[in-house]
Amino acid sequence: MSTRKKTILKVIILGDSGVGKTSLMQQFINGKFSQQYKATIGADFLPKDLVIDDKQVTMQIWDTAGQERFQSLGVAFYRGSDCCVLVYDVTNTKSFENLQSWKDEFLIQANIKDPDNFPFVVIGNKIDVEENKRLVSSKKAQSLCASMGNLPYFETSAKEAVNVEQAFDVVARNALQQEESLEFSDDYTDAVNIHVDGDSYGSCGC
Amino acid sequence: MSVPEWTHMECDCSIFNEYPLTAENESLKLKSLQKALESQDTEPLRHLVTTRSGAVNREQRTSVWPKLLELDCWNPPHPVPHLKHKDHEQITKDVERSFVFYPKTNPNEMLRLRQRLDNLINSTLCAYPGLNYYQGYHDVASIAVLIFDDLTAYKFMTKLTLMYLRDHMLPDIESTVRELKLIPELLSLVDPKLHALIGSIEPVYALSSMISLFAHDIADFDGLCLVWDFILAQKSAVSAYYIYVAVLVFYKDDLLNDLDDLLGKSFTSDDTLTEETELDLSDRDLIHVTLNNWISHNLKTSHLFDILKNAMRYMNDFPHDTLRTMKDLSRYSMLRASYLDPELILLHTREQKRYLKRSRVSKALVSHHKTLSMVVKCSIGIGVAGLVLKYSLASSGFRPRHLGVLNAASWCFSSAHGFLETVFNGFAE
Repeated sequence: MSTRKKTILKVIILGDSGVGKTSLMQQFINGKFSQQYKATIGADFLPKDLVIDDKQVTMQIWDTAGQERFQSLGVAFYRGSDCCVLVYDVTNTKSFENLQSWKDEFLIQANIKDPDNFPFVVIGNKIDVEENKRLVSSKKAQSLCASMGNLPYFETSAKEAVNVEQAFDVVARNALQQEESLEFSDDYTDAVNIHVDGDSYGSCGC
Repeated sequence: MSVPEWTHMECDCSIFNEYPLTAENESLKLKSLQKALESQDTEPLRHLVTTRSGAVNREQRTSVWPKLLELDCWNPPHPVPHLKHKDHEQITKDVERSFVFYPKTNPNEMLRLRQRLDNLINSTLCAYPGLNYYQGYHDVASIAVLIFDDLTAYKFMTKLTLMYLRDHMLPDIESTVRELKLIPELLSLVDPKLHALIGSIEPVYALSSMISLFAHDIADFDGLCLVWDFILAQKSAVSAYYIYVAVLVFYKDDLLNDLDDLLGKSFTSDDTLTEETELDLSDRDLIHVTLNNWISHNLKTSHLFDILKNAMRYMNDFPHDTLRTMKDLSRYSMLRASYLDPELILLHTREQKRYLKRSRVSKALVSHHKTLSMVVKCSIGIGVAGLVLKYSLASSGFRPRHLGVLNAASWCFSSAHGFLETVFNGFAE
């Protein structure tokens, strides 16, 4: 059933407002940077076709609003995610401290069945700034990522295209692994629930 | 007061609706606008700005928009200079990325515009208690900066905020989400076939356009001003929802073509669109994104007049007070309340807090239904056991040494009840 379409990897980028989520996405997809991106409202995605170990996939990178009041809308978009990228700004301590709550909120809103094994990737963006403006050290970030379940960690500059490709390569690989494991369990549940598929749409709140 | 003959006649004859407007008619229109501005009654002006090319240009709008909002009798509190709103950090971040589409100007002028925008947003939000900042509000305020001087911009924004935006400024986005449901409902009335395809998609795709009165998405300044001429003439934010639906219906063929390509299905043939159109998660994501970007990618200013005319027709055919969604909105909502008062923000906030608390409790009850049902079953079981014991004692002759058993049963019953109460209160927190 799920093999009728080509593999789509759904990736969600989360993090505080202004950390550079849109810039990272634009740099990865289009290889460009602009000083002038509008604030993101709601959620939007850009697709990118990739080949991972001879497998053709389409990665959908979802860019979301950073303002907290829009978080509750996440439920409409997070479902079916294969990987979540948590972004903070190395010059903004608060954006770093909020990583854990972005992760927790995502797990709730996306209704992830196996939270311990869901792939997250952490990105510290804006490393192009002068050293004295940097407020979160690599060491501190690495230790947080270790404590959050050994999450892969990258330091990037969307502005100067540093490490962006490398970070999203890991995102893509982890997303593919997740998608393949889900495909297996989906097929399994489909076989079990085949008769209850019909009219349950829209009424299932529990 | 009835509409004076000179405007009535001109609007009905639609000489201002010709395209392109001849130089002669444009100068006639400017004269008519001038006359309408001098009139005490705002109705002639409201008629006039809904003809093609609206209020014509920026100069006209500096006086037309205040008149449409009836600012001459609007007295907001005096703005406090340099006062920062509690959400000023977010405001600063958004001001730094404002004026993205327009104007094309030098860095110094841009700095000055952004400084004015920052002051305007902070002073407007501080004018009334209970207003929270949201991303997209800065897009609205930047239009006021481009049209008005600082004082008029402040007067304009305070009234616009209370009349057209305040529901989006409560502590939670819940009331905005409710209002967005107007879109699928209107679509079901205006174009049931299109509704069959996209009606089940969460209307979050319209969020940025609705909360910014299209300022976030329409990249052409003149086009945006035309839309605002129309919205301000209607005296209600509900007009924005009608315009949004009119856009979707106007571009229906292009929209279906795009979705055909993206989803690899054929929605363009009539019989494909039924109420049972089945969409899986990735189809729904693709539709969301297509709609989300439709206005910024596809809306053409030259189509706007026809779209606004259609919106006007829908407003007449399906008045907002007959819509089901309206009944789900708070009576303090800007789309329902019949009067304008800053107090409504606080009343609406209080009501929303109560609602959210209740819905948290019911959600918690649903998710903990197993534990609760066990507690209830235990209580009933113990109660029944107590009664059985009592009757069997009564029939066999009561002996004092059984009193302990009875007491134990009643203690179990009351402690189960107490536990239940604690659980409920816990959920309410």
